[in-house]
Amino acid sequence: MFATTPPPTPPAAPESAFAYFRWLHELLPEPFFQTQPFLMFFAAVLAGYWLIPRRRNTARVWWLVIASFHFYAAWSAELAFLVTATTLADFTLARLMDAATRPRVRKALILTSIGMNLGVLCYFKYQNFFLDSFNGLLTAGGYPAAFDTLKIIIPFGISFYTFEAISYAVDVYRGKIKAERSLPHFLLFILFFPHLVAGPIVRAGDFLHQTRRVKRWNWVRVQVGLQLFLLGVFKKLAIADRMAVFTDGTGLQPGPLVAPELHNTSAIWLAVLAFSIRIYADFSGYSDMAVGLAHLFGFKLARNFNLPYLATNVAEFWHRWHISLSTWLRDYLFIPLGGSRGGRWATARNLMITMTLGGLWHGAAWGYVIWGVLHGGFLIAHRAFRDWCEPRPGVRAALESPLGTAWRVGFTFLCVSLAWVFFRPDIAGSWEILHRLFVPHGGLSLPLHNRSLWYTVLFLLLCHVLWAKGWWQRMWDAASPAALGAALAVCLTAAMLLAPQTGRTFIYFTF
Amino acid sequence: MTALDEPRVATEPRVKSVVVVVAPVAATPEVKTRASRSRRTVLLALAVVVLANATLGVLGEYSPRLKDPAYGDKWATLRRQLAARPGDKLVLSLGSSRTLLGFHGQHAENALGGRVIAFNFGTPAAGPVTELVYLRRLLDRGVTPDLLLVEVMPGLCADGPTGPAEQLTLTGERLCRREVETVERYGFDPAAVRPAWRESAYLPWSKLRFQLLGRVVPSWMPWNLRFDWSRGADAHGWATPPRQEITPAERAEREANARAEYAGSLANVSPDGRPFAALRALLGECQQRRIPTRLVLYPEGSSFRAMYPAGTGERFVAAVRRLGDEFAAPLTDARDWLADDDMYDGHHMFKAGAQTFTSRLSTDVIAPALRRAP
Repeated sequence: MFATTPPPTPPAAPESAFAYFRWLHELLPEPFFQTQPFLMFFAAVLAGYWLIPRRRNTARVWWLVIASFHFYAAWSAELAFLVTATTLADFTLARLMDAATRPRVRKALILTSIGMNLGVLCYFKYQNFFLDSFNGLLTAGGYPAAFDTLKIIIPFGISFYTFEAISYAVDVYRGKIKAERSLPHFLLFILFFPHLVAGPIVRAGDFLHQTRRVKRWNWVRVQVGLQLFLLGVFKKLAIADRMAVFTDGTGLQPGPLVAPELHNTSAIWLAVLAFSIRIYADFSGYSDMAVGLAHLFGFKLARNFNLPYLATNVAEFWHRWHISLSTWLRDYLFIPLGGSRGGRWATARNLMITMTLGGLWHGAAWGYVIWGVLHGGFLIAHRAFRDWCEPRPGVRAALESPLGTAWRVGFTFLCVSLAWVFFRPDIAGSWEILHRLFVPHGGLSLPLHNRSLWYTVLFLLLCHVLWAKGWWQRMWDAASPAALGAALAVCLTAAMLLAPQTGRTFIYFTF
Repeated sequence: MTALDEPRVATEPRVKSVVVVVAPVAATPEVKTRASRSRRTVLLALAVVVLANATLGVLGEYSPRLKDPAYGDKWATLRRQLAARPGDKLVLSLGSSRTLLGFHGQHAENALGGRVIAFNFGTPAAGPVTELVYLRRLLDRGVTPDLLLVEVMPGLCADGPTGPAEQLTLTGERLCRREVETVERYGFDPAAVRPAWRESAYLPWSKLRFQLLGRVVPSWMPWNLRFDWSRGADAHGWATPPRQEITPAERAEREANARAEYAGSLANVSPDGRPFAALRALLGECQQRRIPTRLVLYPEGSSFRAMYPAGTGERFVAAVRRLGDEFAAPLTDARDWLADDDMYDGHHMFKAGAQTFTSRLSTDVIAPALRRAP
């Protein structure tokens, strides 16, 4: 924490034409919640928000909209204007849709809205991927590459707010919600900075009504928000960034996932384990921080993770991992495709389409597509296995016994961890990792002694068990304020103490 | 109604304007209790964080061992020696890793005989500014050497456009407040050293984490962040070189690394530079306190000596000699005392090299100086 964060992995922000935004960029160079500049920005926004009298709710909303715009504009003013412009367009299209009575007009409007959002997403995120792939096809066929790839900066969080805007338009079209009439409220729905760049993916039905509520200072809410924020900071700094040392290496030695060709088989296995922990702690830590920050403004965002590595099968994993995305994919893709209503093959097809596109949503590279296909395959295999077990009570009883449950959890974790190998743009590296995982190789060991990795595994295991059994909550409820306060302080102090030399960008910021 | 629920202002979206009267909702005793409990939890957490940081910050200001283990561990070893052998004369050697690996205190004591403590206070990348800071810390703790040997490392006497090279190692968090002013006076970049010190004072659990973890769980960190350079030293402060023998190919590679590290800085060595000013201040302080002092240029292999731009080496030696003469601290130029095989990279000694060098230094420099000392 505090001055450990290097520049983000994506390219640096473009030079803004306005001195004001350049100055803003110097003040808040990265949209990372655990950095000192952000905490100062946040403190100022929070103080301003609560100083506005509560009867001036619209002023409070505008304050948050302006703060959120500045949060994004500090990274890139041009892209902040782009996000705002598409949000205004979404607002207008939804209003028109709500006002229109003719189905064809409504259909044209929803298609326009979806087309605009997907168009922006494709232009910024997928254009180079498609051009590269097309060039690759041409080259494979013996023709020269036809297109130059473009130098485009992918806006932070584009996949997240695009999905929010699409779900809003679809919900208005379906008549599930009314189009929002207040512009600041709608702007806040999309631009609210705690969820702007890496989710959770917020639904209009869950959020917009909260913007109209009068917020009162509430100590319970403050405690909940602070707890979640500190938990997120701990996950990010003390776990995720520390695990990154095992996967990506130190300044002295590259990690097994960066240079797999240099490392031995056991180092690769341990790095895969470390990556599974890292990506969970990184993303759920970010989500916890986002939810915690929102609480401090009196907003409640959806829970995004629920102990995913305790899932007993991959279907359950997707009920626990990135819940806001998995429910979005279910509601706006899987079910519209036909869901599980059309028999075994149609369900398998729908699952595969959903998960493949889900993979592509994460990143514009074939590695992510393969990752999605693998998960699609896991889900199909799980359904087939479940159907096979249905008439076999003996097998079911064995699987549901404590030992069987432990085995299922372990096997699911193994499948998910192996799939993470492809969760990267460098597909050749993924194959090399996979090869070295299963064919013994010599080479370098981990860049750091593996003791702290095992301590982290044990610590996480203990926390998961305590949480899953409900003991954590019971201890928390029974503890005195002094003990709770000390525990929160220890959490923050441990995060500061265990943070490695250089912080890492949030993995999901790049999506 | 739960503690987290807010009174809802149900504005109908299609109504242009509406006057909403929100009746005050009386909080139940349970809600009040929970709110009070949460308030106390939050305020206590903040208080504990502030207190924990303030405590460690204050401790750090008064305990260099906490902030600067490279110094602190050496000091702890020296203190044990002084406590175990009261009345013995103290020969203290300040310097860089060349001193750390080259001045074999035990060997010097054997060569000198009698009641002498020969202690190696070398730490990696310690140039004149670090030597000045360390000397002041020792003097403040009542340590007055009977003979002070000060290594003059040419590469660390360079004054580049961004300041002395040693500021990359002697970073702000290793210093206490008044030392920050000292190092700034000798060219350390205030924009780097001051914020680092400030952070170590106000957020020490973050800024001093490598010092703390390096002591408690060193295996959790890469070796370069453990601050344990002085921890492996023997009772006389001498550190065993990492290798005792080396192949010609490895030696060539290490010599090439040393060239890459120092070739550029040797061109910037100037007697008018700020590291020289620090050396002058150190010698002035020794003279004022009547501490007999000797300057030492440590052995260098032929490959290392060949790096000096034409005439630079001679001019540098002449300038250091003049400075030493000015403060009655004669210079010993030991650059050609050892064969190339006694060093593994052209300037860091093997154990055998350290013993050879220390023997000669003891007989040629230390013994005569101690005889002359009051």
